[in-house]
Amino acid sequence: MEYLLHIAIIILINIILSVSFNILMGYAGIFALCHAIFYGIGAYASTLLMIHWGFSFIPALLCAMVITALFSLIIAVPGLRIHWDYMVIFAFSFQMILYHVMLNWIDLTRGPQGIPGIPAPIIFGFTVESKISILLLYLVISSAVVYLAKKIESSPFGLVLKGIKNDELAVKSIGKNVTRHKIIAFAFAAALASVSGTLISVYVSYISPAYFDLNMSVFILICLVFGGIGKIQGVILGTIGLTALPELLRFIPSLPSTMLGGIRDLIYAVVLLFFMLYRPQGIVPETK
Amino acid sequence: MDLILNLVVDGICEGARYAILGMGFALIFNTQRMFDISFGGVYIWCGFALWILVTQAGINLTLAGIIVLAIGYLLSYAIQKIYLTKVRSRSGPPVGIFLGSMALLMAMEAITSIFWGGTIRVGRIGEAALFKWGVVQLSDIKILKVIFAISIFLLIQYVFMRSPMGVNARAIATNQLLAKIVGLQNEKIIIFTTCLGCTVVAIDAVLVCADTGVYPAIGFQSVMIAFMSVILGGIGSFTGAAIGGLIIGVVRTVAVLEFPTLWQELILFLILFLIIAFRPIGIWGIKDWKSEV
Repeated sequence: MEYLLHIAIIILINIILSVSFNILMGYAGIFALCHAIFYGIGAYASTLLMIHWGFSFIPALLCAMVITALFSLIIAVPGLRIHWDYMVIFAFSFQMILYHVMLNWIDLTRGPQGIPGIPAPIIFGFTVESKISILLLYLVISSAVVYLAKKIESSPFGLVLKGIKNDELAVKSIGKNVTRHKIIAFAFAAALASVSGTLISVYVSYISPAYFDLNMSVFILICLVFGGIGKIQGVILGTIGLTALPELLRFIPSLPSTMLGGIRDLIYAVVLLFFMLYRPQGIVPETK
Repeated sequence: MDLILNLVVDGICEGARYAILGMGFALIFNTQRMFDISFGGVYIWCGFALWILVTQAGINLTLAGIIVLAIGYLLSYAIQKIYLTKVRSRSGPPVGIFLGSMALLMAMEAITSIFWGGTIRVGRIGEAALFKWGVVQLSDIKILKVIFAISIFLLIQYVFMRSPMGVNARAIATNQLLAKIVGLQNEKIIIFTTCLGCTVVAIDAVLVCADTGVYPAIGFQSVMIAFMSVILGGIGSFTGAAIGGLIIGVVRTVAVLEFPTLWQELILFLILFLIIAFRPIGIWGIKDWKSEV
């Protein structure tokens, strides 16, 4: 039971991540493979605020959102002028730079050792500690995020983003400010990703840079491809499937633990291979 | 002073290696104009093939190297024929090729690590021969790196600029539709140059495997280095890719003097980030290459 709760909590955290990445890639069509870094900045910002400055859970969550949104400007502002294929490498390098900062700035992040002892969230005087209460809290938060993303999808803002994805020039020609929309989309996606960063840090009560490496960014991307880029139902379905699928490996007896990581990566790779060839639109295709 | 001289010479040898990678990737990218990164997977498997041939089967290094290059060519041909051609013909967005080839790279890396684990494998028996000139000391593999880099550079200059195949490839790079109209077999030429690029990358895999060794994650690193060389030198240019690789090698090696080794990677990515932000065409880049496509 404990184990199932654990998986459910991880799924909820991952759903927030992939839904926020969907705002960037699914709606606006910005292919920035550095989402794990926003996740990481959120986690580190809220952790440091809680441990060193004694912030409580909710203020730390909100401050981390603002900090991450500001960080996203570093890549959003110069990233707007450049062409699609540069953006891939640009985001790659952004991911690697900040990952190495997390890894090597020992004074701030304690490097690869990670930061242990993150306090459990206290909300209106209640300490949320048992797995079931954490699950309920995270369910509320992730539902709020999904609702927000759904609202954005049908709002004028979301429609402009979708227009940018399909035909940037047409959107420009009707007088919309493409630059501003893209920057806001970036900041918004980053801020939502930081929420899941805060959630993972208080749940595991320990963070280390290993959570936020390139593999995580790729994982979020594969969730999107698997479910269907641009469609929230698909993204949620894809995230649930891909988070739960490797857990089945644990039930295979006599599988050496050293192989687990490799087999998990292989599963993700095969899913991606298959979907790129036979169903690039994912399980739930985007409605046109 | 001796230290700096040694570092610079080391940097040039390392840079020659990066130049080979950069030129291999440039061959692939300059023809199809898509980020086909499956060469990273070819890199891993070629490295491991050399290690198996030399240490397990006991074949001598030169012969094993030649076999591995053939394996590299055939492997990339199979990848193109079986998988990437289909993805390309479904005419998904360019994202399709990038994601498809990334999946291939991930799968090949995962398979390698499942079978052989993550340890470093050196495909060489016995010590490397050392050559000394004054204070500078070099191993034979390092000298080979430079020799190979120069000869590949000259060969590509000839093949890509003079031969009919190269002219066709450049025509496809400039305008795919027009090339098709005048009767070029685009797909065939794209596959040929891509396999050629993968073989060039495999040369680097052989050199590295015999020198410092290979491990599963090296495929992704080689992709990163190739990206860096091409972007620094300038997209669309072979000379640029070679010079970009050389500069990165020297900077990375000499940076040891000033910065702790932990920060080396960070400096490289920072350079890459700043170049894309401020001078996306690179040092040697062709202006507006996008408008040609």
